[in-house]
Amino acid sequence: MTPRVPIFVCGEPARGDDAAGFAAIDLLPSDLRDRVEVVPVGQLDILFLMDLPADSPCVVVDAVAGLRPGEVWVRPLAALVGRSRALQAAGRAPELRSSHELPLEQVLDLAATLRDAPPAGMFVGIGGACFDVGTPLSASVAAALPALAAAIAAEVAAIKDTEQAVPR
Amino acid sequence: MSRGTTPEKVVDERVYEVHELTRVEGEGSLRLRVRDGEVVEARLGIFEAPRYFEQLVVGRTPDEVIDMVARICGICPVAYQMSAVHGFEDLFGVRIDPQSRALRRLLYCGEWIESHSLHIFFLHAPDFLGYDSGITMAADHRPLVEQALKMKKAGNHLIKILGGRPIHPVSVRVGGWSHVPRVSELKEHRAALEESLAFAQETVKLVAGFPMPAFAREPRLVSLRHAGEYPFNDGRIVSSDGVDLSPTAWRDAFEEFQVEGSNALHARSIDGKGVYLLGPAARVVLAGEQLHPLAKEALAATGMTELIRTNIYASIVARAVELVHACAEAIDIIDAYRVPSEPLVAWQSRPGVAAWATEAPRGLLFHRYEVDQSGRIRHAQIVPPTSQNQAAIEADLVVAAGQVLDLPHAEATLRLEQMIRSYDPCISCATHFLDLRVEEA
Repeated sequence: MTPRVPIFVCGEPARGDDAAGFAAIDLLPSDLRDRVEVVPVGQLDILFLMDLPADSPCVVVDAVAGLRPGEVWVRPLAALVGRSRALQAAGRAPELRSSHELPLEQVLDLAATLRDAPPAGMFVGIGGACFDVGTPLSASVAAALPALAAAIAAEVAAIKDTEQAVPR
Repeated sequence: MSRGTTPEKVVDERVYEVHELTRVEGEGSLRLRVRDGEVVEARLGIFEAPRYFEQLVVGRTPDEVIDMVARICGICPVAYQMSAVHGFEDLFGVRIDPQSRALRRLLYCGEWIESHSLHIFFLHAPDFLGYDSGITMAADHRPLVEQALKMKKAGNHLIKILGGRPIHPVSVRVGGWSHVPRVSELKEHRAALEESLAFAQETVKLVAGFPMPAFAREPRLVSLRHAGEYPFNDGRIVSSDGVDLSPTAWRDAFEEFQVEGSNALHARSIDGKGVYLLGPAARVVLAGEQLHPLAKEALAATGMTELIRTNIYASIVARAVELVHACAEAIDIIDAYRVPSEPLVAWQSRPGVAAWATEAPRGLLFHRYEVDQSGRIRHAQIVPPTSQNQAAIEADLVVAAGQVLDLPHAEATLRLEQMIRSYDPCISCATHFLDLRVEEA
């Protein structure tokens, strides 16, 4: 049985820099591709996290608004849960990108509530410049794709090192 | 509250406003203005951008249309596919295999399960249990939320088995299916549906015990009704006051019209009888005789059929009863399933009007397409249930106003939001929704 690390790739490939996660996955070295389970999810749904065995780490990849375009940003998923709860304590909520889906932080928060612990794993994001339908990757993000792929690979390697990956 | 004064009279005006309604699908708002105890404005605002699907499908073929209109909604894509495909098959004289017909009911079961469980537990139950969201509710009701998520997943998985993916399925075709499941694929999902059925039965008991805000009106109800089955994709359009039409003939009794300030068309009956109500409450009242025996039993145990008819807050009970129906019928269909001998029957296009109504989770969904000589769409009309329910929502706001004026302003506003959520409005489908603000003068 070969353990594989699930990578949830968020975004919409047809919306400019929202395609960054998918493009970075294509740059992963082939030996690493054999050790991961790439799951294109569009928006991260709570059911994806609930399907994971407890304490099984995963990697979530998405483009991020509000960062410098091309900036790679890596945080534990637990930190995003903490952000959601801090905003809630302050009477605020994560900014909505859609009225049809919960923001990423709230999905993670809900998973943490149902599991009594934040989801294990890391978030790997990249700042985006343009998310308009039908536009290509911006030059800044395209140039940073190798760095994004390297960050994803590093997190997968770290998970493998701790031998906590999900059984295939 | 604002008070304008004159030497002769003090005017008491209250405004209740919600600029962005939450726990509904899409973007809408509410405004209610009451002056000296009289409602002077009750508006459900829909500011979500128009979607233009009726124009996007022009020039396309029927099978292209079926996949395109599914994209109108991520919650009820099946409904859009069903109204379209039945309309085309009716025009082209296509008779599909009986097992294909059963699979379409099964697909609709999947959609009702995922849509109703989403609304009951994550959009509406927090109102009754005193939470501002499903997330905060989960902290205190974890087993309930976990079971609800499993039930929603069971519905989505059923859609995936039949349609290739859990939302926006891709296998429905004019004449049947481009792919049909093996018997074993459906049997493997039976246990999950059995578990969902048991949970749905408990859900009826749970929501029937929720405290229902006082509310009473005599709505005109409209739904499909079929002599031999609970209405999904077949039946006649009926009303509580005698309308009885073919599913192709919605326009004989109803029409759409534009309302200033809303990106969604409204609808009304052309006989001048005013607003009407669609959805689970209408179906349970008008077609309850055809509920699955287990659903009928669950409804009877609540003793709430009359309350469901007159109190919109009780629609959550009707929705739970329909969950029981959808789970139970899905199991029955799976038990009786055999692979269709002819999954996709041949058909030929012919020019004319393709029209049909089916029952989306939120109510009657009517499609009408004009097909030209080349087999392409020349004109399209899509009338979603939320569009049709807008006028009823606004009328119910007026009724609700009388129930909330003595409440503190924030509580009154929340109660009005809860009333709107009782309709499970899908603003993105309608893209003609209302902004709720309550003003009392």
